[in-house]
Amino acid sequence: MIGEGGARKLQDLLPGEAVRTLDHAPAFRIPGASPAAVVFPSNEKVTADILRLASEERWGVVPAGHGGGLYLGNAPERAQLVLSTARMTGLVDYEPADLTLTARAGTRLGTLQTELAAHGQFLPLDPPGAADATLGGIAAVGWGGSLAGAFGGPRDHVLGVRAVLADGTAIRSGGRVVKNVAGYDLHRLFVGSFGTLAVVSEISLKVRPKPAADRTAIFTAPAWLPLQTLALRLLSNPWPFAACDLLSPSLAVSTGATETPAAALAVRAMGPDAAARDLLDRAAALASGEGIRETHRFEGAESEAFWKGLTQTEVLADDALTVRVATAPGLSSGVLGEAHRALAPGASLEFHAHASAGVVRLYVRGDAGGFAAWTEAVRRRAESAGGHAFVERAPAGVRDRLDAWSGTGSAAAVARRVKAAHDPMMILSPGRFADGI
Amino acid sequence: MSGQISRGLLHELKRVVGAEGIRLRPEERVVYESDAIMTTKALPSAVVFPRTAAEVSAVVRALARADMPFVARGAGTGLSGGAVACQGAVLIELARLNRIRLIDAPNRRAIVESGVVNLDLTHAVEPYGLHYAPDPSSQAACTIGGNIAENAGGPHCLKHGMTAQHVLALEVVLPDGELIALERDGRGYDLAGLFIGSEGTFGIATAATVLLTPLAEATETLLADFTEVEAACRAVSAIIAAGILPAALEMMDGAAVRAVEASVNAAGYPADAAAVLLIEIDGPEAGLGEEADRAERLCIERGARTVRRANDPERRRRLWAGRKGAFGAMGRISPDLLVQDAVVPRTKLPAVLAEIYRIAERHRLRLCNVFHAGDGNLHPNISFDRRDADEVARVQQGSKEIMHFCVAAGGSITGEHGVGLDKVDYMPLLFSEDDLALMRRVRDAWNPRGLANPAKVLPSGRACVESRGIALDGAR
Repeated sequence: MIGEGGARKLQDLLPGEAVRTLDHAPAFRIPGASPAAVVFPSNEKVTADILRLASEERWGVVPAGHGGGLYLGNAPERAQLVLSTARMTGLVDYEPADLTLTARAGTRLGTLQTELAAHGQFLPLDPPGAADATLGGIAAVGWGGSLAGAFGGPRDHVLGVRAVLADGTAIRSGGRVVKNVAGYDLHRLFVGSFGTLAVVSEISLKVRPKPAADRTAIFTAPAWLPLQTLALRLLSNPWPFAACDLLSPSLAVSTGATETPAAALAVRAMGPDAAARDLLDRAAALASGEGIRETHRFEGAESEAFWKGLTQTEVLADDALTVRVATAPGLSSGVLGEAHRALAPGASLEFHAHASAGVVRLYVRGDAGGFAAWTEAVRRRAESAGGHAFVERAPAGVRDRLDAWSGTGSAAAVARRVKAAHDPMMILSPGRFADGI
Repeated sequence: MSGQISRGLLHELKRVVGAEGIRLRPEERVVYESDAIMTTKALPSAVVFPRTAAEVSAVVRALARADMPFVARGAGTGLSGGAVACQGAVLIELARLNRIRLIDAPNRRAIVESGVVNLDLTHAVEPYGLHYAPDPSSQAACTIGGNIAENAGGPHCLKHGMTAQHVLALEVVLPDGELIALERDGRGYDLAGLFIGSEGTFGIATAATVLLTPLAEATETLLADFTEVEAACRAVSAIIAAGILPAALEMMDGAAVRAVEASVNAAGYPADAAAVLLIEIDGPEAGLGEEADRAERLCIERGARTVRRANDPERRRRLWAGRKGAFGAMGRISPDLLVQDAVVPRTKLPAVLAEIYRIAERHRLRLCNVFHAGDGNLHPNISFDRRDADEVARVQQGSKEIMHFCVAAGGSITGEHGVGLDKVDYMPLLFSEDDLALMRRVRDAWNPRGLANPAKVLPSGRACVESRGIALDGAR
């Protein structure tokens, strides 16, 4: 709740249409929380004013881009406001010859990629929901996508940020150059912090030349295990595949990898034309040696569109449980095996795995009564493999019983102190993050 | 904080590391009074040599109980005074933590202790077709722990990134002695990512899970020489603009080339060039020759006099030995050397270099440039004799002007050597008081009593009290 006095002060800071109730901005709903309003500051100064007010009033503030990531994490304990950076868009600085750019946090990745493509460059990031996601949102969640195994994730591309702390102080970390070790790299810390440390207003990123060729080979098999084994064999060679993703039969069909349901392995090669074609030919030769057929090859725009489709593999049904598991690449098989084994009768499992990054996204549908036990089993398996499991999405009843996070163990105390150094009054997304932060 | 070791503390330290694991006599400690920058020296109260992470933890716990500051050191190859023992700190030498605990080739990772030498790690994993990509010039001596503290780079970080892109997890001893694990797989804050580059002021990394990179199938190394430095800079921009991302793109100016060619690492660089470009392109065999041809053409179009290809591993090794031996080669020119570490946007290189030469002329400095041209990280090297007070003053003034110009051009005060002690007073050029206040709070979250590597990175009221020698930060 926001008192009348506070609401008036908020209105004074922002023009009418920059404050909306959740009824008029349903994209910004947060499961398990009821913010009074969503605000859309147009620049960093207004952002700072809002946060200063929120600190005075002790409101909980949940930062957002266009809202696509708000369902992630535990429900915030206090959430009076959602603060969206969606109106803070555009390039601040872009010098193609430097392979760097600075953009406002509300800029959508798809818009940026279009601008970069015009200069023969791209940003090799393709997390879930990529094209519509804002740069700030991608940084806050910190996940990579299919390209992460080859190119690194968001934290490997962020060179610096401007941000606003919970008390309204504007700060910067890093810079605009590709090599910089001055000071503490708080910008790296902000990546993956789920908006609990600061509201990032501006991000400097490093970009790459866009490869001349983009080609994809699809391999199918009746079962996923031989394809996972093939993926690991491909990765054991010094062949620089851009991506290597495993898809369950339904997802293989819905993404266009196959026409009839079958487990599929999609292998992407990006680079000079001859090199890309040669890489996939080698993959096909290795696969053939294992009795696995290549069923499809995409090139150019078709290849690009296919992988763009893979950023949308989410099963968005309200009754689905989504869990994201991260382990060393070779241990994904164990996770997938356990995920299948622990399924309750009548439940169905679909999956999308980034083989070279060791990330597996699992989608379960069925009786929600069995979800918690299944999640515990998968989480235990992930943790015993030295990894962790994150509950991305769960139906309402299940959500409250599960911690979205595995937790950081011995690092938790330092994590809490680092949080306190940034946001001692727990203004930003309290309770949403790991370790009870 | 006391600079003297009490009898009780001494007894405790000996109990942990053994009597032979501690050096107390002044003549034994003086070896550790500086790192490779040698301009600031401070005698540690003692030097201890733990053998395991558990011993590091116990040593730090004992020091914390005695309110004694400490500084960790790997091989002492740092170029910013990061391993100098300020305020009578106890120096914790990590060389004995030199085990490679695990090589997991199928998962392209290894678990290594902080004292493992960078190049030794690469050699150990080469039989698996892998290497450790961050390759500072000092890699034959520097340690993984030091690389982590500084977020070290090297010529090949243009394509592969810096240390931070190659660390998956850290084992860290906090300043109170607690041993913790920091994972970077998204299960919580990227505390390991924050720790990397914190220059020993948050605690001591005792081991790391590192990412290994497959050895490229094929490599083409080109050496292009130019009669004008500006032409070489234009060639660098042209290569990047053409969509070629070399594995490495290094430049040396004429003065640096002549120093190298007069040294033991003479590599056949053309001694009359104004600048040479060392370009390395790697990847799958198919199409690599064509990429190298394109790079060669671009160099010639931008004014290269000749472009040579190193066609065999030995020739390639010699070219790189020449480049990596550049700093050492300066030692022949004069008793002392100031190695600056500045970074500017690549497109500003021509203007910045021109200004650096003007500054050198104005102050009559013996200056040459060696740098990672691909990412705008330059190392102006100024040779001098510390016994010549007038020259020292000119060097101080010149290096200060260079630093200010680089920052004004949109760059940073340090690309890879770290702030350490050397550049503390330059931090306000980049960061506001609010920025620095936040960094202090973050540091205090790790290091609440200020015992871990005091007087480094952030400006504070206290100087490195015990220091003697020439401070060449130039900002004072």
